Amino acid sequence: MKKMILTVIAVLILLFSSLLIYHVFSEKSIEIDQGDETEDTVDNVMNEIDESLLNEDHEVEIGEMI
Amino acid sequence: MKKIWNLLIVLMLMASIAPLAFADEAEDSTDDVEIDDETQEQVEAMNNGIGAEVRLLQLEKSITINILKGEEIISNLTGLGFDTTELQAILVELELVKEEVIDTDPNATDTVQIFVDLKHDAVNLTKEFRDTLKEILDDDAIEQLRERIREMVCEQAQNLSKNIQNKIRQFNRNQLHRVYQIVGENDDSVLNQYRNGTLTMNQVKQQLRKTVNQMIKEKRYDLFSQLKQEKIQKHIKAKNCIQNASEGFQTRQESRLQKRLQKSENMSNNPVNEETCQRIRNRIDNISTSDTGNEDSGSDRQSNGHHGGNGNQQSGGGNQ
Repeated sequence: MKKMILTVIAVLILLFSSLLIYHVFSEKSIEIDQGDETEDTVDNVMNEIDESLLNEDHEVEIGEMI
Repeated sequence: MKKIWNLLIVLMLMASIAPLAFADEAEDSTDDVEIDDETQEQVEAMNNGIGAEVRLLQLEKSITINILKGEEIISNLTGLGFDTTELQAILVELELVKEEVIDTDPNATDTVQIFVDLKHDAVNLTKEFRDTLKEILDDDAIEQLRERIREMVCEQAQNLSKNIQNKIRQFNRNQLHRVYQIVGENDDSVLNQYRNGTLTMNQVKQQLRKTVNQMIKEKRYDLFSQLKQEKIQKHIKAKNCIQNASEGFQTRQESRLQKRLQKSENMSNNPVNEETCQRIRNRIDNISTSDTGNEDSGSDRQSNGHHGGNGNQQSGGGNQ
């Protein structure tokens, strides 16, 4: 019985540590990806400028009467 | 013994989760409103006077178009011998909302709150008009009427459109002027040309792209991070405004309706104005009843120990 409990605990520890390692590595790769994305490329700068502007065609929609 | 331990652990876990669940429920208030994503996005531009002015003018334009279309629909229906008192009463209310939009100060601290409130009222009145029309006419007749008013040209709306375009160009010019300052470009001729309508936004952007492309990497990074920072600050400010606008919504709605009731009671005595007053009175009663109902259900909730309906509303969103 004791052996079984120990085995279960060991399996759980293994599972948890592998999940932790996977999570750490995936976080790092996301950071690297974001680093690429958030780099000051001309496109990204232009996108930021774009977002600060108002679209001349935009309307405040309140629905149609009919 | 083991079973008891397991049971205890499960109970402890449940006890630790329970306060979290109750805390979430306690945050729901019957007086609050949920503001849709589109309105939240629109509010982001209202962090300065011109941006707020643009949004208020856009709201005024939409209401104006709907009032004119409503009048056209009513004139068609009257010609066919239908009773249009209710539809006319809805238009009177929509006129009152429009007056409130026009009277709103774009530089006031509560402009966002007023914008959210009035947009909510305009959306609801438009929907009510649509629903009332559906009770009067069948689908074919509605489709015919829709076709007839589709191509309607509204002079008032066109004037408002020009004014809005003018304000948007002023807003964008100011935004781009800040970018040019960061870039170190002091020549405003391109921006002035855009402001006067000689250049389009796309042409300005093409020129700006060339300038950004020629910048050294460090300077481009400075520009990028400053723009990001400003965006985040604007976003946080908008979030706070939205939070304020969503709180105490029902109380504000009641006070708006009281003011509208006073105005409509002062109008000349005719069946349409009487219907308008009655409609507003009914709505005030509904709010008071739902308040009392919610208070009751709140006390029930406390005594029974479980959560009842929160009566929260959804604001904004031009539902078709």
